[in-house]
Amino acid sequence: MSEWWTGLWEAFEQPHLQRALWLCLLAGFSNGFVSGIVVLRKSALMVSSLSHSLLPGIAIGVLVAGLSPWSAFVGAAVAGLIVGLGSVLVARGARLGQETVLAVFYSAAFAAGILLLSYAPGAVQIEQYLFGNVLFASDDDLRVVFWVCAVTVVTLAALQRPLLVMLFEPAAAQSAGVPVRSLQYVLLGAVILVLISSLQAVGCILAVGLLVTPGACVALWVTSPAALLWGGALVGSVGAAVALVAAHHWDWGPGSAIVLVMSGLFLLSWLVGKRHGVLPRWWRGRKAFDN
Amino acid sequence: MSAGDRSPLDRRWVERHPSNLNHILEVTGVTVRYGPVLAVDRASMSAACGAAVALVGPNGAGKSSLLKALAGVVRAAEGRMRWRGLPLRKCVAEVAYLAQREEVDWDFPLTVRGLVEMGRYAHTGWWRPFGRRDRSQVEHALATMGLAELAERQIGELSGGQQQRAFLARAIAQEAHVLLLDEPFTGLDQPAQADLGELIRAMTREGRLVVATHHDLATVGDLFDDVVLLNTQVVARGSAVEVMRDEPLRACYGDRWRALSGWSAWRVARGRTAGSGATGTLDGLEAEDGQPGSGEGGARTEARA
Repeated sequence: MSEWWTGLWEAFEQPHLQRALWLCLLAGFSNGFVSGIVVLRKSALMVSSLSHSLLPGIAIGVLVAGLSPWSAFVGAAVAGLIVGLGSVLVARGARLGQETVLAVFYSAAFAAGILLLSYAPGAVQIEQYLFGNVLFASDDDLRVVFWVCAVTVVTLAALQRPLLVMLFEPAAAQSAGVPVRSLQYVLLGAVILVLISSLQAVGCILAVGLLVTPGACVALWVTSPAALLWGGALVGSVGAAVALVAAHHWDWGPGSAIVLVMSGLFLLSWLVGKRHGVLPRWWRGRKAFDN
Repeated sequence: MSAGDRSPLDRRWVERHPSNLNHILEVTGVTVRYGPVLAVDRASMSAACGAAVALVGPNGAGKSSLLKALAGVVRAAEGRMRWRGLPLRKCVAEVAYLAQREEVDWDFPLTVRGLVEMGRYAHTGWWRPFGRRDRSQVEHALATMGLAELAERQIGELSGGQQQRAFLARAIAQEAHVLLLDEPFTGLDQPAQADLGELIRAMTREGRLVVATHHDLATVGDLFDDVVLLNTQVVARGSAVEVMRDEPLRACYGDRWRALSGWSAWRVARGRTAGSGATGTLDGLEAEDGQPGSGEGGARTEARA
């Protein structure tokens, strides 16, 4: 056991693994934090659509400005904003649900992204953006993720009260003078930012796993929104780090490992979660029957 | 803040400050449209604090729309809403809005205490931490609504009546002066309705103004002082005894109104005690004896006994 442990310790002294570990911790933290909000808002589908639509932005960014974390970042952010805001505007005018319009938008964007990436310089592997490439992350990548994490978590934590009121009861929030529409744009921005921060770790197809599952796990345990947000952040970061170690040990793809660890935690929470877990409910039911 | 700065449920305070009773909500010509649909057409009403006012009317009459316009949830296309002479939207901290029960997400990870604490945000703003006064107001609100022991429950684990009380507790913690309630009695059983009615009475006695939509004609008179009868336009307004009579109700509901509910049971019971104002309507009913249906007949007998 101790041999395995020292082996692991030595392996993680390599800079690329250390960077990968930090990246997982940071991306897991910010994604986990925002996942609490995604769960409260019941907008998981929107998140999955948005994550797919980042691809054309990355492709255009890389084509125009060359391959660098910042060009990919800016491209992805712009693409996410266009698709997110565009779907809101079109849905408002066209009497269609926003989800419907979003589905049209994101499949179009994803198709365009795949097409565009085939024109990108040879070094860019499509798979890196589809499934993540955490082991190849550079210092610049880490810097992008750090700032994204800091900005989103600090902003959302500072806005916790109005956000909570709005998420719980949009109507009452409006009545109480909370700027509901502005907050919704802030949320959209935060979701896009943390999606970008997870691109390196899990890629845009699996991003939704990191941005929904931690919150879904914690929601099965807690009865306070603050606990949901911070608990989600904890589960996201620790889970992602553990998954990276496991991926290294068994030579798995890190992106898949991260999402599978999250899903495993969800399954566990679903079984034994304090609030809605299946087993505690069954147990309570049995006790009630005995009495 | 005015009313709430003192301990709620303190009648003496209201009596010492009679001017507080002159706090008036004035609604003039409010119109609400959803696209081409006209929901509320130039509605006017006024209500003084200390009153419980019901917005009554058939489905689609614009009761909820008018309430939501008052709450600022939907925008009024035209009209003026003033509270104590100020635009109502300038007084958001004094106004509490309670949505219909089916509009609330009861699975939200929120305890009763967490819900009541949200009421304090009107005073603490977005950032200021809770002080001693905030905490004591929360405790007080929980105790007033009899929820102290349920404070750590998740809101979905309460009964219907407890859920409504939790939201009222939030309004008390907010020290709200005007309460706008959307169908607060819907879905409650008889005892829970009576409890809630009593609590609303207590809140009006301490000088709050309660405006609620209500669809059950049989209970309007017991639960509210004043009634605004609405069918897109305001058909009638005034005290419950004045408004809940044949002509205004027929004008509002059309010829179906009699089949809609057992409202006359209340009217007759009230007629026995309310003096001359209602006697005329009592006579009117007796002339049409047999019309209202057996349930009401039973109630009437009780009223006479």
